[in-house]
Amino acid sequence: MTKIQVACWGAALAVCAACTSGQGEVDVIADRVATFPGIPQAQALAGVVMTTDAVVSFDEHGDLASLGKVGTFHATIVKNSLSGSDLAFVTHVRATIAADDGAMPEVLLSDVDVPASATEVALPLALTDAQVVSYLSEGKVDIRLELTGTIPERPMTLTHSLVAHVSVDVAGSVTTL
Amino acid sequence: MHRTKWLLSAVLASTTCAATAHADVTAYPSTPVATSDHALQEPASPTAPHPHVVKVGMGLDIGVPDGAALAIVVRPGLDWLTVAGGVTYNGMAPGLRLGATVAPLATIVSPTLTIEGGHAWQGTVPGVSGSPALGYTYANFHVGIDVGSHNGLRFFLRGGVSYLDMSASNWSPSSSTVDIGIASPSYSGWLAPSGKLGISTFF
Repeated sequence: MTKIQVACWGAALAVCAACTSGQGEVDVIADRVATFPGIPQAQALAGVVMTTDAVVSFDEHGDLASLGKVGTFHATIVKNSLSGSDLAFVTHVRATIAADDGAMPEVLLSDVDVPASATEVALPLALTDAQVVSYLSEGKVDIRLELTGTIPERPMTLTHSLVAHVSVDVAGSVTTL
Repeated sequence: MHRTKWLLSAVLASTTCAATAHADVTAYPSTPVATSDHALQEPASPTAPHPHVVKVGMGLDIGVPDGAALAIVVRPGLDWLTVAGGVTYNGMAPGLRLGATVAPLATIVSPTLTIEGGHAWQGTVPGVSGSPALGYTYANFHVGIDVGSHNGLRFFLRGGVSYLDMSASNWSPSSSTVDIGIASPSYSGWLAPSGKLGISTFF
């Protein structure tokens, strides 16, 4: 081992031994494309108001568990939205959340009217941030999106975005970061 | 001829004596000098360094969180104070650093107190494709020791704590159909210990 290698190892050990005490900030993002089935041609042509639904699933348990190892964290849901050009067919969105394994019941997440010609709509939370985070921390979650409107015959695709801003009280070795 | 030689010797001698006497009065007054506000000025010691000489030199160090640094060091007329400004490189991106060190003892081994502030621009980890860009601003609060000539080559070891304000960008793990992950991480807080090892010299 050369002197330079020894110096590098020494510096690396010094960094790993260092401790931190402060505030970490991070955004936990979950974007998921949902595909909604179309409705029969006759009803589509007649412009009948119908409801279609789809489920988006994601698992933030790992990310939140990692942040929990760094320190005590507090999460705020800063974005919960649905977007896409097919939103023009939709007049109302109802969303529910449930743990995929059934450990937590299905509850109302959001219920909102969609403005005409909108390409993105915010889904205000019917739950507190802490309740949403408890679902996300549990494991894989299913968000069921029910769309009401003049649904076309073809399938619709919309993107559901959920962003949680997490503040972490960091205290400990930098190896936990 | 003899008289001329004597006169020449006398003139030279008197000129030399006058010049010497003038120099003595200017540099080392034999008695305290009264100033306009009636304060008394102490005569300077013939062996003491000039109190207002600005010394300039260079320094080189490596440490955490600065990385490697090359600095210009200046002693602005105060024997116990050194200010330094320089460029840094932390392996990802260059940066700048400015600081001041107080060394109360002009001895071969002297304790020091250093306060510095610096900024490292965002950079990616070399050799890692798609790595996030990391940048930070920091302040160092270090105590240490300097070893060496007070006005020449000195080695120093400094350690203490640092306050970091760090942020990262391009941190967005994703797959083709699902974008799930952590984005825009940042950290503001203390890092301990931090420190550095280096040398400096004055020209």
